[in-house]
Amino acid sequence: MSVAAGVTPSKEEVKRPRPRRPRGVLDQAWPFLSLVGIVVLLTLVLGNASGEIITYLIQALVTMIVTIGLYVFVGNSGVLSLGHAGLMAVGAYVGGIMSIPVIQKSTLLPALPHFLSSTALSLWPAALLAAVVAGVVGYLVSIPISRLSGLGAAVATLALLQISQVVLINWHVLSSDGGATPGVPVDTTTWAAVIGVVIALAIAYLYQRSASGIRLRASREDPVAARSLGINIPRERRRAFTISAAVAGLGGALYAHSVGTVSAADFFIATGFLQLAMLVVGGINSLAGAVSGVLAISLITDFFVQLENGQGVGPLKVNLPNGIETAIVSLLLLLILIKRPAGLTKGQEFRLPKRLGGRGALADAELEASAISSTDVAVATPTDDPGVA
Amino acid sequence: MKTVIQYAIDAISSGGLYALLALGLSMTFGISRIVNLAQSELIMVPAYLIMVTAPWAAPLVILVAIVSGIVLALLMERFAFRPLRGADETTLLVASFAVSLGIQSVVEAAAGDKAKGTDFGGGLNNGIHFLGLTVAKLDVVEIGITLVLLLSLLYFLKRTTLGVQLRAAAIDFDMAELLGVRSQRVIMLAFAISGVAASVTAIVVVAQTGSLTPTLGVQPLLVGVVAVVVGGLESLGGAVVGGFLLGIVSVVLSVTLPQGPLQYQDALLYLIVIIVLLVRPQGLFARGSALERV
Amino acid sequence: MLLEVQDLTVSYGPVRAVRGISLSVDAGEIVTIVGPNGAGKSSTLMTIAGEKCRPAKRGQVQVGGSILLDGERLLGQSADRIVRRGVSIVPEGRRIFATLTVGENLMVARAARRDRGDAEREMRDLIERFPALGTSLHRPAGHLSGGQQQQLAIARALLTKPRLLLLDEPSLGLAPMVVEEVFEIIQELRDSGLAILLLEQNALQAMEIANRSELLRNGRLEEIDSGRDGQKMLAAYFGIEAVKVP
Repeated sequence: MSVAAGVTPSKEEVKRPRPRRPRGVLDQAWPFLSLVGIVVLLTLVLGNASGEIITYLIQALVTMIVTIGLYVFVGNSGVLSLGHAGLMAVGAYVGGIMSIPVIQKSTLLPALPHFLSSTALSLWPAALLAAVVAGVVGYLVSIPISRLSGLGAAVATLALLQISQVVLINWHVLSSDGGATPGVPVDTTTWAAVIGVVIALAIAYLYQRSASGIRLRASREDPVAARSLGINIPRERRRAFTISAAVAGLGGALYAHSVGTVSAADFFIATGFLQLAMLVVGGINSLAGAVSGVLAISLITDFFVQLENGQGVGPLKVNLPNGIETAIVSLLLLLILIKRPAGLTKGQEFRLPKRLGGRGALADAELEASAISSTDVAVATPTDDPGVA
Repeated sequence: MKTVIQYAIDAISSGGLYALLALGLSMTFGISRIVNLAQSELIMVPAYLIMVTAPWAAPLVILVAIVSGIVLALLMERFAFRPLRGADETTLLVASFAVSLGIQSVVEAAAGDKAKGTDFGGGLNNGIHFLGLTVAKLDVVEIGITLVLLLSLLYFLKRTTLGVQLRAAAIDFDMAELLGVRSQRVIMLAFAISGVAASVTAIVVVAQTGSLTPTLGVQPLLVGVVAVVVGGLESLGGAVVGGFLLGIVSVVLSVTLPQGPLQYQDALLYLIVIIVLLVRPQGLFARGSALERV
Repeated sequence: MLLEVQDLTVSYGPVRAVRGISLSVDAGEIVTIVGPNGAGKSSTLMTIAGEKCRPAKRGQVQVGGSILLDGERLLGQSADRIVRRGVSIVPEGRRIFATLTVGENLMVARAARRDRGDAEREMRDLIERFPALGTSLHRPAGHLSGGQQQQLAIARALLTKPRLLLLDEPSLGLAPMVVEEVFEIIQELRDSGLAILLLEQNALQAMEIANRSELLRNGRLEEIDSGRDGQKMLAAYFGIEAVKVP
């Protein structure tokens, strides 16, 4: 039974596999291209604004990289990680410290081994190194974590975050006095940040479409069914976690190069919470969710921070106490969890509209329903379908 | 150089605190599947209120602290967790995370993030001498309070009909409902109890350290979480035992670990959590498993 | 009729587990529903007991139709209110509180009632009917054998003073001799005036003690009119003309 283009399948039809039309490259790459487009557009529009707005923009873009990294693991596996701020920290410290000019390095970090303090890398080599190191750390961490689900994983990753904080503060190699380590050259330009975001998006998108990504999402929807198909769930999770760690590390390095200082407190609970909140608000199961969540929450926090600084926004000049923006984000997160748990994007990616040759937005209900295991319904399918038949 | 007995007293007093916290956490988890990270705020907010009301008579201050703990806990239940009833455990965890940080930032906005001091309970720092030992009055009071509270809670749970209903609901909430147990009341009761446990902890912490920051509750909470994971999320008794165990472990660690930064001691505790989660996710004492494994 | 169910539908999203079934049960009779797994039997029972109707299930379960107990609406009420109205369920798998003692399990059921009644006399009557429980009041319920646990589950449900008793697969996992005992108890309860809705895969035995039997297939109910003839029952169950039983 053929389905006319543009007609949402009725409930009976969901049960039978539909014949799929072959799709053009534009349609397949649209979820990726649309996000790149949004980011580039935003940067062009804000590119000539005041210095403060530029700072916010760079911060948002850098956070976006880390959140995309978070999505790669959390969104595809359905397992929560509260510890990604620690992976960001690895990237920040590696990418930051490697770039500190040689003259300063040995004084700032006397405990640093000589071969490290005698070299200084520029932004991109440092960032690359940071991503690799973070990826390795991520892989090692994923060995135990990949065996845990649900609450166990959440608690374990929280524990890891705590451990990372202790190490970062106390390891003398990283900072001379347990405080901040300054001296990182501030060379993350807006376009550097954009490039970072595009790289992160590309990695995330390619992973999402890869066989490993599909298998992981299958395990998210129905672990038992996935296992019966021969999917090795811990292995897929390790892969995703490693990739997600590398991306987070990249973000961390670019972050370090945007503030000029690496300090353990920047990579602790508040940061981790914010990144998670952004992902959840945007839509935990989709890449578009990572991007939109970061944009939405950055907008809101910047709005409130402006009010807190006493600078006012437009005609609005209220003096809000410091720190209130976290309360607002918390409230927003709670509301989303209650009213719209799938987030702003409802866990869907952006699709090329039918008018331009794409397949249009897929009806959420049928896809979510098909994931509920029941004797009445045929094979469970992953909720967001990047177009691989 | 402290004597063994002094160490034992330390272990019992911090163990009792952790046991209280763990009991509160275990109760709210058992009944509504929430790992309530916001319990740290149930400690912090009463602590700040103690600071504010410190000039008043001590019994009144204590009353304010406990009532505020209960009220805050019930508010949390009503507005954050009740709308999410039936949601999965990680969603509830994230929600409690949000509540926790939200309250922290409100307090920070109101009172600033710098440490504040108070001398509530300062008079108790004198020692009393008996049996050839010098024991701080504070320690005695603290042990007294926590043990009394623990024992009364345990009595309540074991011997009263309401307590049995609560335990039944913690084992199988839906089944308890199917026997006529009033679910809403039981949930509120569990939260109120965790509020009491947390506010008593606050009283002790304030009297001991005399200094408050908005993140005051985070450390105790995390130790409570460790205790509950180790003792078994589903077992109220296991949580209590886990708390005492941790009290002993932390004293042992502070003695055996080099006098470096005490923080490595924390890192070790968290490492223990991870190991337990991997090896025996249901905790050392519970039967059956609360936490899924792949 | 004590219980009147009309056009009950239960859906999980687009999946319709129960599609418009109607049945009724009167005091002093056993109605049994037999049928293959996944046909919607448990969903029906749980919905009557109020398990599915909590707003907590958040739109994932949609229920339609009407359930009346003595003319009063049950659908949409919370489970504990339904119990107070006089409906009690012994769910699949018994679900006793394993770490509580037998006595505490019973205490839970009694404590939830509004009328305290005569606790002593109730306990004596109970122990008369379920002697196995009387000797294990202080043992953890998890230590009981399957048959004893089933007795505990039924005793517990009875302590809520129901007018309608719902039983979901009481014979599951029990040895045949034990199953007989359990079914005897169920018949005694019927004879004492209780309305009983019994779900069973153990079709033959269930149909033997039932006043009326219904077959639930693919969410739809068909009454089996078979009298007490075993062969006719089997035939009706499998939907064929006749069965030759050696």
